[in-house]
Amino acid sequence: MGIILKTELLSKSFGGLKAIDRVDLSVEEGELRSVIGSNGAGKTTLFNLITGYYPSDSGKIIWRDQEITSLPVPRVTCLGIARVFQRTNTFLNLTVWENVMLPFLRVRKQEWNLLTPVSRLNKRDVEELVEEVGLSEQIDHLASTLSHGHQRRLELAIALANVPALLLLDEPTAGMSIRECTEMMNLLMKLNQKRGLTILLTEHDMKVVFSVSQRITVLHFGRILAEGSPGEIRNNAEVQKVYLGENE
Amino acid sequence: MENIFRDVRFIKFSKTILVSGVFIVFCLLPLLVSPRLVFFFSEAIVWILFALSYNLMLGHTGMLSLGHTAFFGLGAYTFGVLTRKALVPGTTAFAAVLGMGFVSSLIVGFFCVRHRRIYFAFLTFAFCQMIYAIVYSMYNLTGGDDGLISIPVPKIVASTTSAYYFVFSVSVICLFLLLRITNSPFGSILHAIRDNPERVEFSGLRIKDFRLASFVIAGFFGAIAGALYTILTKSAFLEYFGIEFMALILFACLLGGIHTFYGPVVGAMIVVALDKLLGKYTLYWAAVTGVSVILIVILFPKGILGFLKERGERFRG
Repeated sequence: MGIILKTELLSKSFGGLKAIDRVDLSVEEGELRSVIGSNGAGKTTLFNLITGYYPSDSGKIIWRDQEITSLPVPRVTCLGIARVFQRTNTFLNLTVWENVMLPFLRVRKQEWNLLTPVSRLNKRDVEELVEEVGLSEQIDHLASTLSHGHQRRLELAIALANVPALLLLDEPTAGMSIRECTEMMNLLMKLNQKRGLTILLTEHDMKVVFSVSQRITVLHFGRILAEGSPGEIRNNAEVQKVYLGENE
Repeated sequence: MENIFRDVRFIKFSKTILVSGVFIVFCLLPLLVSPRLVFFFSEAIVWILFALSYNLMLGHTGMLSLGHTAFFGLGAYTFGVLTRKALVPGTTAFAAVLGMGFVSSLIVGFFCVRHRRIYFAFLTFAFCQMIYAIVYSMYNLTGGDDGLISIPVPKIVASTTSAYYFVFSVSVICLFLLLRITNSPFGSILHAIRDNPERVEFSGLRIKDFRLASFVIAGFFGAIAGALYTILTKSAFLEYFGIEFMALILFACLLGGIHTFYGPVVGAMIVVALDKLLGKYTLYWAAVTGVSVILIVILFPKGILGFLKERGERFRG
């Protein structure tokens, strides 16, 4: 397995605040990697830079040997990087089916189809994906009427409909009950193992992080403090001091 | 019995019956009413087409343009100038209107769609005023402040009845195309852009391209509406570029309901009726229209059809 995503000396500041400071990150294909850090450590900013949502101040982002540093969001998404936001971000006035159909239109190259009614399009792949995330019963419901847990699943389905090679998940279990949280993590592990999908996630729940991650990157004030397997991170004295120690 | 009203097939069937009924009535209209009323309905049909074209941007894509009348005016003047001044045959002039609608909206849209919300609205308004100034200054060609009158039209559409059938046929084709567009995959993307542009970008779609396409399609059909109006009235005036006309079209869309396809149809019919009837009885018809806007916004923020649709959905549970 090769390196699928790499950042080199990536930096981003907001005024005087260095949100991301010379970050070198390498993610291997098929890996399930967590990025942890306290609030303000730069996790979401890192995702915003990778997806092209924010322009970087300096440094490089390399995707499969191709530099994507200055590419806009749609181009990055088309290359195979999909994202789930920290705050649920779906089309509230559309049904579950319509929500998931949208990225599929691009994937099927039907986004410029002006004359075929949407109702006549093939629904099978959308239905399969909706079933995979466990929303079959809600397929005709408006996104706005779904529970928080179901909305998170819907957003995951929208991201998966982009047929990504790398999935960025910003606190995917935020606001979920323990049961919903377990189901979501099982689903992510299944996607990682069965589909071989590379997953990069940020999460505050350390139980979740240490149970699912193959590797963990610890961010602290925009810089990488430590990187390694869950065991290595657990035993890292510096991490214990600045991050894990604070939680205990 | 109650279950029938909740059945999707019954609702679709009822809609089909209603639309077919309206279509048949409009087909037979010249046989049923006086020529004056035929002319009134011809005008109403043009307004409907123009309101529908505007609503593709406003209601379906979430783009508030204040300069859509520019394309109506350009359509009207292109047809008028070509037939009156250049003595071009009506059919060729009409084909030129299609080209003008496409090209002008592509140019204006290219500069406007990269901006959003109030900036987009004011840019479109600025472009409209610029076009107004150009048309105004070219007196020899456009008649300036006096406008163009006695515009020759092909003999086949010279009478009130034949003009009605021409306007009606073209508008029905345009309405059908606009309906197909809004129900297409492209239309779904427009709705998604209206609701959550950020998520659309994260679905790998460049929203600027789709906003531009929506702008161009709206401008194209807007120009057709302008040309039809010129064929009907055999004249073209600078008022077509005015903010008052823009406000009336915006009102028509809001009144009928911007989030429904047929909302602007209902809204435009009512606005034309108000415009013609109230103008007959009072000089203060604009004040009455203003009060109506306030009442609509407060009582029916989703417009008449939006309100009925919501009621219907609530009834069906």
